[in-house]
Amino acid sequence: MSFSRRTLLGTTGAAAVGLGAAACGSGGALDPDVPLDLAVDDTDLAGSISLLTPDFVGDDRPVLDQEVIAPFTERTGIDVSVDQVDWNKLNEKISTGIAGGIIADLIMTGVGWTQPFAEKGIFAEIPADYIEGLGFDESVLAPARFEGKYYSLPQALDLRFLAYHPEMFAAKGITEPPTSMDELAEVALELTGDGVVGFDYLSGSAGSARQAFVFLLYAFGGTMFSEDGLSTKLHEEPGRLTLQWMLDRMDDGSIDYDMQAAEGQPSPFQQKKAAMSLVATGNWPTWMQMTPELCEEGAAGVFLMPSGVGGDPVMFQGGTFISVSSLSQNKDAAGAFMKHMLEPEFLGIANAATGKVPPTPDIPENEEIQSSLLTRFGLENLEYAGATEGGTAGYMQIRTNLDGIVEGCLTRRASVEETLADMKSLCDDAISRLR
Amino acid sequence: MATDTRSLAAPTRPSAPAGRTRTKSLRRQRRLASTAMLVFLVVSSLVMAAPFLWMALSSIRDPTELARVPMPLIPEDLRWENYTEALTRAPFGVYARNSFILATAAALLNVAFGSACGYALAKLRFRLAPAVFGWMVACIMIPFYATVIPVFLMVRHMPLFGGNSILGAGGTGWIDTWWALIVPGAISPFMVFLFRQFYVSTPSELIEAARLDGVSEFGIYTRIVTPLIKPGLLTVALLSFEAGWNNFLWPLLVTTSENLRVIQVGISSFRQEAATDWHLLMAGTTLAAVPMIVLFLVFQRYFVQGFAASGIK
Amino acid sequence: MSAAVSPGPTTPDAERVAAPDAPVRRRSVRTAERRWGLILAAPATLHTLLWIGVPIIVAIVLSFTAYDIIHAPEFAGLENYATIFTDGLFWRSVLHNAIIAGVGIPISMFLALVFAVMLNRAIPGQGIFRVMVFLPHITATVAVAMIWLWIYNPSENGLMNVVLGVVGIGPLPFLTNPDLALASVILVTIWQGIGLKMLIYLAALQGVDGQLYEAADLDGANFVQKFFHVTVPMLRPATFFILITALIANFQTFDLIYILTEGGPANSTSVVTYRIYQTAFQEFRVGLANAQSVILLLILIVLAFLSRKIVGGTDGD
Repeated sequence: MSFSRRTLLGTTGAAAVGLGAAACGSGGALDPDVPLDLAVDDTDLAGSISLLTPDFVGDDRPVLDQEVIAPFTERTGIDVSVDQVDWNKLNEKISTGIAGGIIADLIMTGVGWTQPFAEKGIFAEIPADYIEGLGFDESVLAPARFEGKYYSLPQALDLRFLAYHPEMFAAKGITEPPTSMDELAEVALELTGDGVVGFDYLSGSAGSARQAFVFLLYAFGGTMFSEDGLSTKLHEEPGRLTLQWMLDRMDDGSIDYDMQAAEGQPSPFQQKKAAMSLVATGNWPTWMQMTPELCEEGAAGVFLMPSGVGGDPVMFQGGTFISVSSLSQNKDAAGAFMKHMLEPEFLGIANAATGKVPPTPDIPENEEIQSSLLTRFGLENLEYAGATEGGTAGYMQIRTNLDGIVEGCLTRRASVEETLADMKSLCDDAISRLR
Repeated sequence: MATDTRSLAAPTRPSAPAGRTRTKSLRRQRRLASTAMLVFLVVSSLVMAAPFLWMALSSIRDPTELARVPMPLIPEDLRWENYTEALTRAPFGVYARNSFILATAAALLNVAFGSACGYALAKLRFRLAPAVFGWMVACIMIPFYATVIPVFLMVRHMPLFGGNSILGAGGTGWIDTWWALIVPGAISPFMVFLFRQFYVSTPSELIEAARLDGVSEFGIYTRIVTPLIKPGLLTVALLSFEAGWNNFLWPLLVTTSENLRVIQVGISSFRQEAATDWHLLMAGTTLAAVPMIVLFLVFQRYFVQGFAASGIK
Repeated sequence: MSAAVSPGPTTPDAERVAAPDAPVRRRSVRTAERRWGLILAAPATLHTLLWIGVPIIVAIVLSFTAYDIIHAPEFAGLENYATIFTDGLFWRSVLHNAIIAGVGIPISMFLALVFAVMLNRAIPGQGIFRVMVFLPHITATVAVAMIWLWIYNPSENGLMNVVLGVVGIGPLPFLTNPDLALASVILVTIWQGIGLKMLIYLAALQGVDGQLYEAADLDGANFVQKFFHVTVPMLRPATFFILITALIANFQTFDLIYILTEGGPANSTSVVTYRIYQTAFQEFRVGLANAQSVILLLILIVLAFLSRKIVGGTDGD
């Protein structure tokens, strides 16, 4: 029944559209089931491949072309063409590409994207033995897994933790960064006053309301979804603690929701209007440009988000993950280039250019990377980078809708209980729609 | 018109035989009114332009000033090198050339085909006219995001292009070619609608008279009526050019190679995931606006009242 | 003289003008007119039928399916439409659009008309003034939105708060307070919308017969009287156009919202096109997004009819 209706629909569509069968199933000639073989010898590779990346913008691009791709082409004879798009237009580019069946051979996306695309069969599985040989930390591999298999690999990371102004700590006689959520709350309140807010946690410069929530959720020992990604967890007790903690800080004035710095603007922390702040490793270039004094040795202190339940501190992990398209007609060549990009030497070169953090500290000495206090700190603490978004194949539908729900709670449009219920129904709905 | 004169006559009309003192006070009043208007214009147009002026100021600001509290309104030292630095960030020469071609094509095609259709809809009686007009208005209502996937598929499956077979399969069609950049959006229903409204205001008597004189229908359109709406032609040309110049998303979706990318893509490269180079973004945007400002300055000179009226009587 | 106001093509007036001619000649004229109507309208019509019409049909067909881009579309009947009717956020977004349009359009149309009339007179610095009013339209929306982010900066560094500070108000959290955010967005849409409307009015004013003003002068009409009794009626086609296209443009506001607020805080500035974008390209529910587009189209068609009523139609149409 449903088949005949679908056929009818297809026929109507085709007749009206005149695009023929090619339109719908576009990828006719490609076989998504051909496995990716990473052991093929360089000399057996040929042809050309394409890379879709949201990184390597502007003058980072020549570095990619000349210092990463050129050596690869020289070694293997494979041409690599780069399609560079903005992060916030990546969705449109991937969607139209997939619909048209002409998606790039290699696709770079972010944390939380792997599972949905793996589930839909767009990303090819990457052999586990290769990945285990890389020696990457478990924490940076978790976002690359779907149903126990790997579908992407971290090429660059963006890590988030907390920073403070040491002189403001000193003025209040605080000697050590806080080591628990209660302590963090106390310190934040102590530092608040005289036009300074204790803790800038929600300023846009280090992520959205949703990511702020997720970070704290992990600090309170929570997780967004179950291991298999099929049941919702974020509404449980840690979720409640998280929301309540943020609301309490806003009540006592140590977090100010209205003190937001939008894109391109200096953060309250940079302007010394906040004593502590959520920071991202990617903020460093902005600090260098706008407030170079903050980049001097000892001008800013950093620490991990303390645990709210007496466990290990946590770090939030975002990043750029590279995948091979299952629709690629030259998977082995694409795989070879992925391996090339993940070689320590090229991880160093690429991340030095983009200002991001390589997924492993084991790269050749690189002055550029070492020059950032934030990157150094992030690399030293990679094992704590366990706070990540996503984990379910339904996450694309959840992502941005979650922002509105968290904001609703923070602006007192909804109670904590209502917020948790809304989150749960959003996630359950998305998961139930998975085929 | 008749109604207008009637209602005009009705309201209090200053009595015709006015004394000399009366004229003088009237003149003073008039001068006062025009001064008031000038003051209003200065203030309000400054308000209108303030964000742009702010952008121009930011474009020569040292980034460290942005973080200062309070930030000086006028940059303390002028950093013109923001401009040179912005220009080295991406191949702006290529981008600007592409945008210029795109914008010029849009302007020419819209003026040629949009005016033809607009004229037909406004002045020629043919059976399909109301349907075509309704269709054009409906077209404007379709959000880009509703049709982008089907349009993309059509471009990608264009038969016999880019290695495609006659059935549109096998290759990449128009993807990453000039065709994809120019053809799908070549004629904007918005411009057709705009043209129609301009033509509607032209006198029909003129057409009838020309017909009596034996001027061909095509001649009436090109030589008699269209010259009356020169400001309309200029408006459409300007608006189409501007839309082409500022176009961003569609060119990004249908191209993959750098040498077909447009100027807005270059400008967006100053907005990165975690860090936005504010001063460079402002410099780039200011530069990108310059051609449009110059174009507008030149065009607006033709907007002199009474321009079209001369041909009517 | 009655020319410019006189309604366009289908008026009995026009018929009568041609009347004295021989009927045969008239018939051949009518045939030529019909033929040339089709010929001149054909390129634009065929082009839009192909590049907009075909995609619309596809979009409508897809609105009855579940389509995630990757798997082939699957027939879903009216499910998408049923989903929309229970989707509170979608209707809230429609409401936001209606508020933005309802408040913003009349204000920006009025200001645009005032600017156009003033800048149509020979005054010193005319060109400069025109450019300044048109500047917001020239600048790419992305940049415009980013500049307004600065202007709305909640601290004392925000231009708007500097201004308010002079009057002793603020600083106000323009974009982070759900009660203020929509108003802040509306202000930007008004500011951004004036330029284009002014330009169209200005161009339309070029078509106003100067003799009408002379006649009014003879009648002793003052500036205000001339404005309401000559200018406004003469600009009716332009007003009709501006109203309809502004309505449509308002319901398609996207870039501005995307950068200014991302629909936040707490969805207080979410608009229809932003929902459609999210549904299609972030959630990959293309069928549902297309159903949303169809609903939007229906809303706009109703609004277009309403606005024709308001302006009184242009003429024969």
